[in-house]
Amino acid sequence: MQIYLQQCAKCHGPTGEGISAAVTIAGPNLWAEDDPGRVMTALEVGPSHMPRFEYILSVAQMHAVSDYVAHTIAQIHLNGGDLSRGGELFRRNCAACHRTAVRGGGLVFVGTNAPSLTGKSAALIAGAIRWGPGPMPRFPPSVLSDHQVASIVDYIRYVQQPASPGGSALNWYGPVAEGFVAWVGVLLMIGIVMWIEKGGKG
Amino acid sequence: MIASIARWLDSRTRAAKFARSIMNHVFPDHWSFMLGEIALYAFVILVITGTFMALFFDGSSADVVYHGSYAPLVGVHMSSAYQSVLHLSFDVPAGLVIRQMHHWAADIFLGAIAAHLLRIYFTAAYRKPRELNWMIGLTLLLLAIANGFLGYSICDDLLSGAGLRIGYSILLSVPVIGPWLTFLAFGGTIPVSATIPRLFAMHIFLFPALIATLIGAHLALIWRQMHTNYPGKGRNDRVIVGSRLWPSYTLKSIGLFLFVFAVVAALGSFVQIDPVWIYGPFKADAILPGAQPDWYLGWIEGAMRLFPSVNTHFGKWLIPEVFFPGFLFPAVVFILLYAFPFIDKLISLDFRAHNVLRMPWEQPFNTALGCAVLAFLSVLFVAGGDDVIAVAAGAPLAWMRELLRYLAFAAPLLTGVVAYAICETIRRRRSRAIPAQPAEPFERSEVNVEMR
Repeated sequence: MQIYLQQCAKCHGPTGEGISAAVTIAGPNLWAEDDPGRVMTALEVGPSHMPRFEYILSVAQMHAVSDYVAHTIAQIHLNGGDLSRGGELFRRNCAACHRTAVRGGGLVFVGTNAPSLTGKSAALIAGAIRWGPGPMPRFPPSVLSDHQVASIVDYIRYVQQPASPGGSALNWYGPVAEGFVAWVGVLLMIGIVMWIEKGGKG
Repeated sequence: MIASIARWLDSRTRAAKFARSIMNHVFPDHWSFMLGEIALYAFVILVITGTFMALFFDGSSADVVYHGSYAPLVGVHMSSAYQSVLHLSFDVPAGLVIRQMHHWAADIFLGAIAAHLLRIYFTAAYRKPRELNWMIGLTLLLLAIANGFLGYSICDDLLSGAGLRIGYSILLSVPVIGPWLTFLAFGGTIPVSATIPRLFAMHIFLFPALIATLIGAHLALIWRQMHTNYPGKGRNDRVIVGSRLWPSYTLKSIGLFLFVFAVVAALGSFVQIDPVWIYGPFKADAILPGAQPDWYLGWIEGAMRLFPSVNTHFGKWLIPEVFFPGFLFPAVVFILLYAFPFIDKLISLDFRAHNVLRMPWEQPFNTALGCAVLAFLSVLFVAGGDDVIAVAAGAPLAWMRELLRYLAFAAPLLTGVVAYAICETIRRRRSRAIPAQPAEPFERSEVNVEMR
């Protein structure tokens, strides 16, 4: 615990809540890091902006930190989510800002847009749900159980790369992009009509 | 063989003379006269694909549990209507491509109608004797918008539910008769089980029948009154120049149908439209940003987003804010459009019948007015999608919306002034060059027909 407070709390907060509203940049929330092996790997490798602790701490110290994070800091356990249930919960609790396509939405009164959730890891999403970075509301265990958080994470991870047939999805921008494409189609046909009227030449 | 069948038919029906007069009917050749035809063929595709879908769609709000191929919705409660759309999309062979073709054809139908309307407006083709056909065309546009909205709504996914709720609120905001109108259209306060069957019946019976009937009337009037033509050599209000219905015009038209079909089929195959499975079923407690109507309602959506949030009180009655941008504004736009042939008479003081078109630069005021309205509508279209644009561009939405509010006033003014200046310049240049106006060459069969 001493080592955690000295080395990690600067960026991840004394209880692992994370320090930045932009959770991708610095000190992400650790509340879903319930696997000591994953924490150990992160310490050794130093993903993104994180320093490589294998030069700073001994192996025993790193093991101690991993155990501390996985057993004391981590409060959410992501196992056994239910994809469909996660979809329902997502539409009810999250889609109002992040859109059902999980690609973010524009918000008038918040001052910032809800970010896209593509490329976000499961632990990051789960931590953000509990912690509520920036203007996002917190969803404590009294609102969403661990199983419900795990379900929502499953759903988001699915929709990041959904099985979505029917051709180019236009990044799921919806009717705005579709209308634009439709007008490209109309202009293409006007071009064809001009070509027909020219006698089909040139 | 064919000749003997034809003789047999003719000896009994005396149809040959009649058929010949039809086949010799003359249509002028110009690309801008084929825009309405694109719309016509999009409608044909809509009817064909819609008939296929009607075999699988279940227009019912009955609660069912999904057990189809799309994993994230298995076990979820939804309406039977939404489930049948998922079934059509994932489990019916060619179901998805037909559905996407139907939706693309609808977007293109409306786009072609809009392009056609612009051509009529900017060449003053609505003038006597064609005021009636102008009004039929506007009615077709209204019906097409309404039917497009109905089709978008009956899928009962979260997006269409959001749209339906807005449509419902707009109708409800109409003073005095609003509540009755909503009960007539929706069968109660939504969400209510009577809504989807009602909208479905309107979408596949009432509106298509009205559209088909009015298309018939529209074409019959064009036939009866003859088509207009651009000014040029040998053309005046009593002579029409062009190609015969058979064979040249018919073949041209069949070719156009095949091209329209090809474009719609390509879009339906390669570009996703309305992925209802991503939106999920409509539930009254769920909502999503980036919820837009299809493009042809984007201007009303934009007006509602830009209009300030003010409730008006008339004595003890409240007029909700959505009434002004959502109902009154489009109503005024359409009333002015219906009245425009008569407004134009007051502008131009020209009460005669015309078969030769007026070029945009010969009517600078009308052209400037049209361009200003187009600029205004363009701002509204952008505003209708402002949250999507804000996310895509990474710009703050509130800031964008303020800017668009200023643009809604500045853009039309600027566009109108510039359009007027350009028209005046062209007109002055042309009036100097008129004595030496070059004759337009005609290589195709010329047929002069006296106007009745």
